[in-house]
Amino acid sequence: MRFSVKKILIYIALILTGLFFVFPFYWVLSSSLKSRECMSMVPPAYYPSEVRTVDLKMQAGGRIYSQAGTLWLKICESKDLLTKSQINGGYYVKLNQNLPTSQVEWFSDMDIKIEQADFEILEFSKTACHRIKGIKKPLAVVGRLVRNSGSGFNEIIFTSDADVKVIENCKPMLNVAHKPIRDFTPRWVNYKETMEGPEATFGEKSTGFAIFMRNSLFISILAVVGQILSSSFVAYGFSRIDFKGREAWFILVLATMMLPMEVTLIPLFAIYKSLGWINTFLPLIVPHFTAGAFNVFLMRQYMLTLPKELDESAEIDGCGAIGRYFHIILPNSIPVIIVVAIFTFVYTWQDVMGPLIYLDNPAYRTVTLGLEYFRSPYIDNRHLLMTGAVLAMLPVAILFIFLQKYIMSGIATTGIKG
Amino acid sequence: MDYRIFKTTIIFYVMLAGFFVSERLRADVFEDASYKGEKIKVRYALFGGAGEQKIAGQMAKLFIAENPDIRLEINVYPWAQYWTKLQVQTASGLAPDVMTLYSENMGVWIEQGALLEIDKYVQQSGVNFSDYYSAALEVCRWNNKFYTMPIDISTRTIAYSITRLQERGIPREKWPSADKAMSWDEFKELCQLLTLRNGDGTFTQYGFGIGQMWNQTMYRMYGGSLFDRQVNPHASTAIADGNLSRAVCDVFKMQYADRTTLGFIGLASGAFDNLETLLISPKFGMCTTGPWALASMKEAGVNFGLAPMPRGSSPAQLIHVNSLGIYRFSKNPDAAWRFIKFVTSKPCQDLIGRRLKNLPALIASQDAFVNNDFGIKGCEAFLYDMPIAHPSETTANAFLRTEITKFGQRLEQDMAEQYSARMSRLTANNKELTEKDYADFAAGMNKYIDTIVPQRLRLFDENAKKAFERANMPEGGIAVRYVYPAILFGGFIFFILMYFRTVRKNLEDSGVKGGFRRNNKAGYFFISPWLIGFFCLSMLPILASIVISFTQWNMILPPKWVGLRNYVHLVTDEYFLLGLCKTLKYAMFVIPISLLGGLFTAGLLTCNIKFSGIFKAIFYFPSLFTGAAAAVLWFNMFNKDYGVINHLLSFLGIEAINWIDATHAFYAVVLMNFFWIGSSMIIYYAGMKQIPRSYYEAADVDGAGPIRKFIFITIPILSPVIMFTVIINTIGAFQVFTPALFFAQDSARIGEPGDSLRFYAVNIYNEAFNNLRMGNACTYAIILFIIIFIITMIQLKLSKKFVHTD
Repeated sequence: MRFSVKKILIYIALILTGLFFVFPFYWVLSSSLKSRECMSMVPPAYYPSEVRTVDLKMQAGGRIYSQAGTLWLKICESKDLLTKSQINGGYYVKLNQNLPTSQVEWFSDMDIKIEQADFEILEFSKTACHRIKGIKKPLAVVGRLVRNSGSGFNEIIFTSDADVKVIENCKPMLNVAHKPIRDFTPRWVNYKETMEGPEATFGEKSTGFAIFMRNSLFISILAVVGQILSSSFVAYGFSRIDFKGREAWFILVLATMMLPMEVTLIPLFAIYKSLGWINTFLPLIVPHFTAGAFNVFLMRQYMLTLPKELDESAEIDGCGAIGRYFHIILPNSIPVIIVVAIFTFVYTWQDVMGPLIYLDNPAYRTVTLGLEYFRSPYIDNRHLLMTGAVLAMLPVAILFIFLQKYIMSGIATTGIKG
Repeated sequence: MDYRIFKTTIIFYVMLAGFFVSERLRADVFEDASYKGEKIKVRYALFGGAGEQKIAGQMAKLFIAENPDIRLEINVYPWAQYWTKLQVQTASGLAPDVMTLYSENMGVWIEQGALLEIDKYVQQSGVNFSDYYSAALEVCRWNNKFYTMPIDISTRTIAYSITRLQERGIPREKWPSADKAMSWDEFKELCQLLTLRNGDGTFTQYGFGIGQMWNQTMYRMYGGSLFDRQVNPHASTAIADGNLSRAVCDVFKMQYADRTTLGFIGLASGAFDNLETLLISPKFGMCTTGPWALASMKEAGVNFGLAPMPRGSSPAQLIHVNSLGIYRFSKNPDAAWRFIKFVTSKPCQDLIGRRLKNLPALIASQDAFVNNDFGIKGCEAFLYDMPIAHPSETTANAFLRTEITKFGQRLEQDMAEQYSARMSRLTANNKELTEKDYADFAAGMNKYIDTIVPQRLRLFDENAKKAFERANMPEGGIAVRYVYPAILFGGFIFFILMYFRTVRKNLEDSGVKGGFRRNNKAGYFFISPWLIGFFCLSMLPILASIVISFTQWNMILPPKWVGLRNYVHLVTDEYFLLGLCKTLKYAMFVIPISLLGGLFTAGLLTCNIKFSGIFKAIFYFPSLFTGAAAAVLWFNMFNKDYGVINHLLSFLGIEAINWIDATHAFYAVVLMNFFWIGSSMIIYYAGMKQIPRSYYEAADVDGAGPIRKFIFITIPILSPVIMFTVIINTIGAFQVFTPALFFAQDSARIGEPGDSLRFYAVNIYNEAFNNLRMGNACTYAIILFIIIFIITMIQLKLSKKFVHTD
C-alpha cells in the first residue's frame, strides 16, 4: 500500500515537471496564431481569439438633432445618470458624415428640437459584444461616455441586444463591470506573413522567414557535412593510427575544447576581413571543415570501442588507411555521426554572434538575425515574432523527434553535453 | 533500420533546402540595362522598413534615368541593426559608398576616420545654403568642413486622439491646433483631463505617452541644455543651467508624480512596444510622433490630429538630421557625390516629403510634405518649430555619449523605483484611493524629484569631466608602451605553455591502448584538418589578440601602439568590472539551478517507472533551445502586463513584477535556466544508471532511507560529473550573449535595460563592434582567456583531491 502511494507521488511530480517544460512550447504555438490585438491583451489570452462583433442598424427617423451644423442621434431615452437630475432627456451620439463617432452627450428634451433626417437607417458596424457582470446574455456596446467625478471617473456604456438587427433604444448602464467576449479564432495567415516579411500585414513584402530559413539551412547543412567529414577523419587518425606525438596533439584537442570563441573573435574577424570573407557565408561554414575539438573527442571515444579486428581483416584484404576509413570505420560510426550532426546543426542553427558580425546583406540574414529584424521599432510585430520563433524551433524539434534515441545515448555514453 | 532513419532525415532536409533555394535572392540593384559602357558601382545604405525601401527604390529609378552610367545598389537595414551593421561594415572595409548618418553619431563617426571630407564637392557644385534648413546644415559641418549633406529631418510633434478628446467631452477650443504651440501649462491641463485614474492606483487611460527623445526635447523647449555648445562640447553646463534643472524636474514630475504622462520605463514594461504609434492603444490620449509613423496610425484607423510641441520660456526644438556621407575609402566618390546631390535636390526631396518619410531638408519641398500622399492633415505642425530648431548634441567623445545616455536612464530608473515603492505602500491595505491620497502622493514624489534631480545633475557633471579627461589621455612612458607589454607577452606565452602542460599531466592516463601499426605520415595526414584549424583559427588568433590588446585600433585607421594602457584602464573601467561581477553572479545562480534541477529530474527518472523514455525526452527537449527563439519567447512571457508569467504568479498572490526592467532583467535571464536543466539532467541520469544496484542493496541492509542513500551513495559517485557540469556552467556564464541581445532594444544598445545584462561576452561584443575599440575588446578577451585558464586549473586540482574516483 505504501509502495503505491510513493509511486503516485512520483508520477505527480513527473507530470508537473513535464507540464512546466511543455508550457512554454504551448505558449509559443498558441501565440503564433494570435492577432496583433490579441497579443496585447491584459491578462494574456491563453488561446488565440478575437472580439465578437455584430453589425447593428438604427432607425434614424425621429431621432436626429442638429446643432450648429453637426448632427446628433439619440441612442437612448434617459435621465442624466451623472447629475441624477429628474429632467427628461436623452443620450445622443455625434454623427460625422452620417456615421456615428465616439462622442456621446446628454441633452435635455427642453433644450433641443428633433428634426427630420434625410436618411432613414444608421449603421453601427463592428460593434463589440460584451459580457456584463450580472447579466447572462452578451450585449452589444454601442457607445461609451467617460467623465471625471470626485475621485476617479464615471463610465456609462450604452448597450443593446446583440441579436437584434435594428436597435430600438439602447440601455444606459452606469459603472458596470464589462468585458468584451472573445471567440477562438486562430490567425493562420501569420505564417504566410512571417514568410514574406515584417511589414507583410501592410502589403509591403521584404525579406521574410522564407529567405532566413533557406540561409540558415544552407549554412547549417554545410556545417554539418563539414563537421562529419573532418571530425571523423581526424578522430580516425587519433584512434586508429599510431604516430609520433599523437598523445601531445590530442591533449591540445582537449585543451581547446574549453576555449570560448570570444577569445579569438576579433583577430578572426580581422583574418576573415583580409581574406574578403566578410558578408559571405564562408566564415560560418569553412571553420566547420577544420574539425571541432569536441566532435573529435566524441568520435574518437566512439571509435576506440570498435574492435581492432575490423581494421586488421580489412588490411589483410588489401585495404589502405583511407579505404578503411571510408569502408569500415565510417559505416560503423553512424550513431556517433548522428550525434555530431545534431549537435552541429543545433549549434549553427541557433548561432547569433557569428551571423550578427559576419553577415550584412539583408538577403543573407539567418533565422536568428531574422528574429531580431522582426522586432521592428516602427510596427508592433509581436505576433509575427512568435510565429518566427515557432519556425526557428521547427527544424530542431523535428530532428529531435526523429533522432531522439541517438541524442540521448550520445550524451549518455560520453557523459558530456553538447 | 537505424541507417534508414538517418537517411530519410537527411533526404527530408535536403528537400526542404531545395524548396527554399527556389526563392530568388532579393537584392535591390538599379541599373540601366540599355547602357552599354562600363558602369560605376555605388552602394547606398539606409535604415528603415519596407516603406523606406520603396522610397529609396523610387529615388534610385529617377537617379538611374539621369545617370545611366551608374549601377546603384540599395541596402535597407532596420534601425535596430543599422549602426551595428555600419560599424562592422566600416571595420571590415566593406562600408557602402553612400551612408545615412544620424546627427547624434556624426562626430564619433567622423573622428573615427570613416567619412570623406566633401567640402570641395559642395563648393564645386554650387550648393545654395539658403535652400536648406540652417539647423540641418549645421549638423553636416565638423570643424568648419562639410562631411555630409542633409537629406531629411526627424522632428516630432504631438499627436492627439480625436476619439479620446470627444469621449471626454473636451470643448473644441481647448483642443491643440496645428498652427499654434500650447504653453506648458495648457499642455499639462490637457494631459490631466485625458487621464483616467482608478481607485486602486491603476490607470484606465493616460493623458500622454512619451515617445523616443521626448525628455531631451522638452529640456530644450525649456531652454535647458547639458552642454554649452552643440558641437565639440568641452564642458558640461549641467549644474550652472537653472533652466535645465527646472525642465528636468518638471518633465519627470508629470511622469512620476502626477502620472498624467506615462514615462519611458512604464511604457517599456507595458504592452506598448511601439512608442510612435501609442494612440492605436485606447490607453492614451496623446503621444509624440514623427512623420514616419503617421501612415501606419491612419491605417490602423486612429482618428488623430497633430500639434507642435508645447513651449517653455526660451524654446528650442531639438531635431535629428539624417545626412548622407561618403565612405572615406570609397572607390567612386565622384559618383557617390552625384547620387547625394541628386537625393538632396527637389524631385527626391519632394518624394521624401510626399511619402512622409521625414521632413525634407530642402525648404522648397515642404509643400509636398504638407500635401502628402496619405492625405494626413495638420503636418504644418512639424514646420511650426523649424525656425527655433536646434540639432541634438553632436560629439566626437564616445565616452561622453555613454554618459548622456546613462544620465537619463539612471535618473528615470530611480524615479520609477521610487514611484512603485511608494505606490505599493499606498495601495497595500486595499483601500479605495481618494483624490487627496493622490495629491499627497504627488506632493511626496515632487519633493523626491526636487532633491534627486540636482544630485544626478551634479553626478553627470563629474562623469562628463571624467569623460573629457579620458578622451584626452596623454600617452604613457617607454615602460608602459614597450617594456611592460614585452614582459606581459612573455608571461602569456608562459601561461599558455603551462596550461597545456597541466592538461597533459592530468590526462596522461587517458591514452589510447596501442596495437595499431605506427605510420607517421598517415597519422598527420588524417589529423591535418584539425591541425590547420588549430594553428589558423586558435593559435594565431590568440597571439594576435595579445598584440592587438596593446594597441588602439578601430579597424578603419591603422592601429596605434599604446602599450599597457588598455590594461591600466581596466581598473577604472566601470563596464569591465560590472561585466565580471555580473558574469560570476550569474554563474553563482545557474550552478545550483542546474545542479539541483538536474539531480531532481534525473532522480525522478531513475525511480523505476513506466514511460521514463517519454518523460526523459520531454525534460530534455527544452534544453535544445538556448538560442534566439527561446529568448524571444521568454522575453514575451516575462512582460509585466501581457506576459503569462506574471499572470500565473498572480494566482499565487504575487504582485506583477516588471521582469524586463533594469532591476529584474538579470533574474529573468537566470530564471530561463530552469528551462534548460535537461542538459545536466541527462548527464546525471547516465551517471546514476551506472551505479551498481548492489550499492543500494547493501545500504538497504543497513537500513538507510532514500535520502541517506542519495546523499551517501549517489552524490559521491556522481561527484566527477557534478564537478564537470559546474565548470561547464561557469565557462558558459562567460558566453551569455543571446538573451542580452534580445532583451535590449537593439544590438547597438546591448546590455540594457540599465546595465543589467552587461555580461562579459556582451562587453567584448560592445567594445569591438559598437564602439570599434578593438584594442580594448582584445584586452577583455585576454583577461577572459586567463580566467578560463585559472578555472580549468582549479578544476583539475580539485578533481584530484576531492572527487570520488572509482
